[in-house]
Amino acid sequence: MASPSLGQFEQLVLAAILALGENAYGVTIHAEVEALSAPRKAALGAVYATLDRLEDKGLVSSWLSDPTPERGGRAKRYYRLEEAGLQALREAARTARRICDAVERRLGEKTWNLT
Amino acid sequence: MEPDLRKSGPPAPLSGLFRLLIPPSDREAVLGDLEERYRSPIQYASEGIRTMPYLIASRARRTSSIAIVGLQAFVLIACLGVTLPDLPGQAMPSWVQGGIPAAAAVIALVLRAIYRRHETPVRSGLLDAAVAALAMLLSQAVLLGMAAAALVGPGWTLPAGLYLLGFFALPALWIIGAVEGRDTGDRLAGVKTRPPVEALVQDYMRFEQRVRTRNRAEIIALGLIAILSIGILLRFNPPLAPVAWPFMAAFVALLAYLAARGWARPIPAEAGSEPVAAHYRRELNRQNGLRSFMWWVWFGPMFVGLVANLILFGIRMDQPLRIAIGAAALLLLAGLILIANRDRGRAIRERVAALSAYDEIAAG
Repeated sequence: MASPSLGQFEQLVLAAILALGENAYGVTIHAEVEALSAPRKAALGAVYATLDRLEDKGLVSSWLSDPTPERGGRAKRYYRLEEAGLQALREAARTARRICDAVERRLGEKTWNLT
Repeated sequence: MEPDLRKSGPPAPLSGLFRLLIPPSDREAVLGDLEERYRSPIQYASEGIRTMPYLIASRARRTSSIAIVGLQAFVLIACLGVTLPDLPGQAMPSWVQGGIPAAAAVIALVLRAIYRRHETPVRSGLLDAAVAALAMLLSQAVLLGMAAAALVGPGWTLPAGLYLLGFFALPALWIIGAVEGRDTGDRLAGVKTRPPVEALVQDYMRFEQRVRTRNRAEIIALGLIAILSIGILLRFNPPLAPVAWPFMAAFVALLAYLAARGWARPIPAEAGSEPVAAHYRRELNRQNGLRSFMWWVWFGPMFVGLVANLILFGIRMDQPLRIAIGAAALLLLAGLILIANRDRGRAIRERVAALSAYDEIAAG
């Protein structure tokens, strides 16, 4: 079955969750998304909205941790990729790879140094 | 290593304000995230304010379905006289007079869905009706205040007679909220799990109880509408009376059916897990069919109102735009009922499929 199509920001959020492993929650996901999308900034709220959407699509799941003192005694909502999310991210990465290859074939490998 | 710039926590009034504004299901985690990122009151306030619209919009998407909000809007539009033909000398058109309280009530209902906590369906529907009534009255109070301050001209508020018609919206909103409102309490509501066999009977009894409560609420709501309508028909004998009386007869017949057969039938005594699962499936399908039919009954008078007020009046007055709006509204209303029934049917099918697992266990 084909994976649901993903927007670019959804791909970034999924990639961030994958990269963070067991430490994926709002603050860390946002930081990782900003690192991946640099120099563009990402709004924290956009990350939350995207996480909700990905959860509704069954691509990620979430749970609340125990409260932590450094956050005023508040819990963290952790996220993890579901199998469908991993599959969708793989497909998105394959497409991105094909785009990169097409660009390189036309413009050469040095094109990535021109910013 | 970066120096820790955090001197203290966020100011209590600010975090208190955000606690109030952030939807309950996101509150704990988002407040914690904002606090973890706290650097200064201005940074905290700015980030919190910029985050809020995303949270509210995302929550609205999760808690309100377009079909249900659309049906609620239709109920309000019909009962606040938005489609009524304008009378000669009327200061403001009917769609403005009714449209303002209708819009206020729809916005209030969407906001309520975002901020409500877990509630029983019947209570949820009752609170929906109360919030909508409050929003309608508040919009009128604001308009009256503005008129008194000469900020708006006369005629923006609802005519007195429409308050009575507006009352009809409340039982309908109650039942829409009670039957179709989304469960906001559980973020993992979509997870599909198979209940253990021994829990099946308990599960069915909870279902039976929910159906009983909902059925009772629907009988009360329909009864209330029937009594009010019959009173109005007898007292005023309006031009639509020849169409309204057969509707009333159908309403009364339906009330009798709901009272006699609307309940979920009890489990046969000493039944094993497979007969219980089969019985459960049959009842789910029967209740879903009944529910689908009931929406057509509830909205039947609205179809008649749209035809009379928009299409027939448009034809009589030679107003093609009014006719086109009427035709579009009829199609939209039918589409919304079909979508609401489809969405509920999908959830029922998932439940029925989960129950089919008991047959496989039995066969294996």
